[in-house]
Amino acid sequence: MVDMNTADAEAIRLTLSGDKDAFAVIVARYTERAYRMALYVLGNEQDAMDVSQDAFIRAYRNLNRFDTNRPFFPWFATILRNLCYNFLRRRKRKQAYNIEDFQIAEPSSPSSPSSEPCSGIAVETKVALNNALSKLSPQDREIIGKFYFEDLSYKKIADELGVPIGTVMSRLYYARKHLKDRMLKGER
Amino acid sequence: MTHERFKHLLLKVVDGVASDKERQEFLAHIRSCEECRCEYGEFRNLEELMSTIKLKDLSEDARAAYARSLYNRLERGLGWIFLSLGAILLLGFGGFMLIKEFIINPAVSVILKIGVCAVLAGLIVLLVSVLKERLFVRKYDKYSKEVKL
Ligand SMILES: [Zn+2]
Repeated sequence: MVDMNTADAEAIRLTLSGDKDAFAVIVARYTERAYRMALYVLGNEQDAMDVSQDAFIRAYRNLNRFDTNRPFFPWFATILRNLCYNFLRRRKRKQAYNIEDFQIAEPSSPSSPSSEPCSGIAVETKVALNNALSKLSPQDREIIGKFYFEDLSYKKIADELGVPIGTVMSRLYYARKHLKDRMLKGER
Repeated sequence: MTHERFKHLLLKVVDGVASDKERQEFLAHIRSCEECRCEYGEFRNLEELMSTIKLKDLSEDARAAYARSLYNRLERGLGWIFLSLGAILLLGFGGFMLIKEFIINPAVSVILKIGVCAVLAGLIVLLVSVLKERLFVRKYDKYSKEVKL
């Protein structure tokens, strides 16, 4: 981690001293993470591409205000997150996601049907999950993404969102409940 | 009866971060509470499903296209900055020349000259005030926080 931060700081110093290619190192390193973060909030591929690019552009323009003693990504992530929610506020049609765009890899192993006595998740398919995810609120999807796809702990999520762990647990509880309910209903 | 406390416990048990004591407490609770028992089952099913699923990584092509598009946009941004700077310079210079011609023209009455100058002065004050407000707002907008980190 320390190495990465040092490398980031070095690349940023080079960028600031006029080496245009140095910023490419930063972009290449964080493209995937930035894109996915935006995807969780925005829920579709094209918007996630556009807004995460906006964030890199904004970061590039404000690079002289960045403190190189600190890690780059949290600073960048704050910019990105603000841009994502601003974008949603402007777009307003928050539910109009294109479900095809939420890319989920095929399950690595077929999930076994549950033998629980209560209601099970009936349609355990990629489509149903895609559908359910696309209908969650941006906040729910964001925390689901961080927890399941980024494999972050409660603590890490709390740090990234700047809220207490208790709040993360409550949000995770409701986000998973909403996800589960959507899947149970299998609504279109 | 409120289940808020058991919701947190449920989460911890499902995620495997509950202490032994918390776990025992929760398991004892669901023996008598059907709602929590069902919910526990459903959450575990969800965990099972989610553990088999991961997001697709961006393809090499997608990453390359992403970088290309980003640099094009950065370049266009620079283009706009130069264009605006140039336009402001040219307009400013042109305006200055016009006004100079106007002021030194003896055929124009003094009253008209004073009137035009007053209107221009007013416009400039308004413009500066708007600019100051914009810059002030920018300093305190939501990005100022992360910039100071
Ligand atoms: Zn209960």
